[in-house]
Amino acid sequence: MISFEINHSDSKALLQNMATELNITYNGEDFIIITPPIGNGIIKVLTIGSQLQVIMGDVTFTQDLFAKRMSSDQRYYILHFDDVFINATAAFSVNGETLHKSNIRHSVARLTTNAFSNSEEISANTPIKTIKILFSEEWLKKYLGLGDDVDMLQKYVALKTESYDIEQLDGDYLKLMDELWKVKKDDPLQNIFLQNRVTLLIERFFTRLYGKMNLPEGKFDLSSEVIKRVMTVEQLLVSDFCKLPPTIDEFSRLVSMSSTKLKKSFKNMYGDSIYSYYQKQRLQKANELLLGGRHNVKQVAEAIGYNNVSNFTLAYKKQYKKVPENILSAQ
Amino acid sequence: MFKFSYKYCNHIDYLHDLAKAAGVPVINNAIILPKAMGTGYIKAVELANGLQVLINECTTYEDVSFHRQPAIDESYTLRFDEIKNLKELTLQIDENKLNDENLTFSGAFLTNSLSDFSYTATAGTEDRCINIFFTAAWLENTAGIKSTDDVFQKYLSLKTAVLNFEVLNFEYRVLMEDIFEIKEDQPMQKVTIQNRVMLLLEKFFRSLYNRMGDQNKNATINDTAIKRMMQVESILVSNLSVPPPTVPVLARTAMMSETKLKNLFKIVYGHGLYEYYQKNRMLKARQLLRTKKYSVKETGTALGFKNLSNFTIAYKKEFNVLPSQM
Repeated sequence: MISFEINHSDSKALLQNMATELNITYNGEDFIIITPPIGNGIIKVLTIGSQLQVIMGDVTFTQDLFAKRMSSDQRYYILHFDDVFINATAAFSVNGETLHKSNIRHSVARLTTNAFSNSEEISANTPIKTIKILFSEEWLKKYLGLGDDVDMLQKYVALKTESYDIEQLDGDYLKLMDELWKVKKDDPLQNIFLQNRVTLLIERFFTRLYGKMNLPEGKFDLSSEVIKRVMTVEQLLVSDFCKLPPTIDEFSRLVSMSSTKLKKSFKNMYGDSIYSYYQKQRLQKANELLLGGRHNVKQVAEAIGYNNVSNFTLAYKKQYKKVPENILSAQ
Repeated sequence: MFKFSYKYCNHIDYLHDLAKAAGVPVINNAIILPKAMGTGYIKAVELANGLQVLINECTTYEDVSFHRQPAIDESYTLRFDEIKNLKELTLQIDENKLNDENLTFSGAFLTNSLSDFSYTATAGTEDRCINIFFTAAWLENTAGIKSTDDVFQKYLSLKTAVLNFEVLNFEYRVLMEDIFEIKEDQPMQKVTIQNRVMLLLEKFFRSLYNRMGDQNKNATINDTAIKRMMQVESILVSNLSVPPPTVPVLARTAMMSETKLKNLFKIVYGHGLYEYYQKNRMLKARQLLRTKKYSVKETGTALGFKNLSNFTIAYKKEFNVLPSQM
């Protein structure tokens, strides 16, 4: 098992520590390359102005990964953009609360603070793409023009693990994340380019957070209790694609919420209605199976609950603009 | 004629001096034009990253002339202007003069505080402008662009910067609209302004580096051709509720063949003629919807859509959300 103890005070020291743990040489650059047998990929650090630090990774480890961030007195915030294909299991802990996820594309943006201790446990061979942006409370207050009104932030941060699923990464987020990797070394404008992408990620996260936390009374109450229940529904929905998921009425009885409120809250948190979320997730699963190359189209269709292959092909084509056969023959 | 001559230091001081000359008070770093002069506002915004931005949307009732005297300390202003209903516009940097007799001018240009700059426009002119002020040190420390860079110096040394302006294409306009549409009570409004301003800067410099770096590409389009393209563009977006003039009609206006017109337009504005018209139509739709005064149906109708679902589809294609989700 690889075990990172993360202390964010200095980004180069962080890379040095990671290199030591991975047993690779670190030559003081702003990145480390991970090669077999440890894994595959890259971890990179950026400093934007004097105030923002960014750690970005695009990496798969061949061993289980345990990353832990200690709580400390010097208060700072970390905005995470994680796109992790969890094909086995992962556990996320915030101050003693633990959230388990399995078999899903965990693709979320979330804000944490080092006032709490945080840890992540991710099983071997999980492709991890992440962008983590670090800033101080002073910077954030000044940037957002919050003054001393940090109510919204505190409300959000107090959600701990319930905050994990509030903000899903959509195409716009993923595009910005992707662009951060695309900057060229000899680009005279790389500084402003990186800075703008990072600040746009921050802006988008907080604009949407404001939207979600401050909806008019009664429209959607994002209390910790509601979030917990909606997350239960989400877990059940994607736990097993072989059999049909419970109906919305069943769900609403299960978590004691009206179906209207459940539907609204679900859409608010996951950005899609219950059924289209289910559909996206299971086709995502199908895609992984196809790319794995060990199953034929019929097997894949059955694995995600389609008895009729042509229905599966149609659904797959709708999402990926290609027919499943093409994926298989391309390999 | 309203005449104003000033020594430049920064936007906030400039606004106070201008207010004094026009005889109006400054409230929250903004002034409203006096009735005799015209309608509209000018406001100065100070951003967290040290930039100052002057934003104005004004229509004048009398001729105006602004003259900036050369300063001792070097600083820069990057302005994005969208000027309509012109009879005559004169921009002058030192001895270089641009006298524009087109009805519209939509362009961006960078000026250096060491040079003498003047702007003269006839009564009735509608000017919407975003003017960004920064120093060489800011540019280097915050944006990582050195003002001693070849490209940068080459641009400024041309001094005909006015004759060498950057055409405002659709992407610039979207960013500008975002800034104009910001409301005072919107959460994070300063963040939004700052990020849009930074994107304007990035885009301007990106294009500058591309143009200055590649002389061959630059040589293929001369000033006359760019001016004609601007004329075509202004006709194209002048009335978004009726179908645009056909390509043959536009080609006659621009005095060139249809093929040449289509190719040139695409090079200058980055989109085909009809695509460009459609994109601007959607931008207008978003502007109307954001005022919250019009329903989706009213907006679609105002932009000449007979079939509302066509409108919805076109809108979603441009902005990735349905108009009803605004």
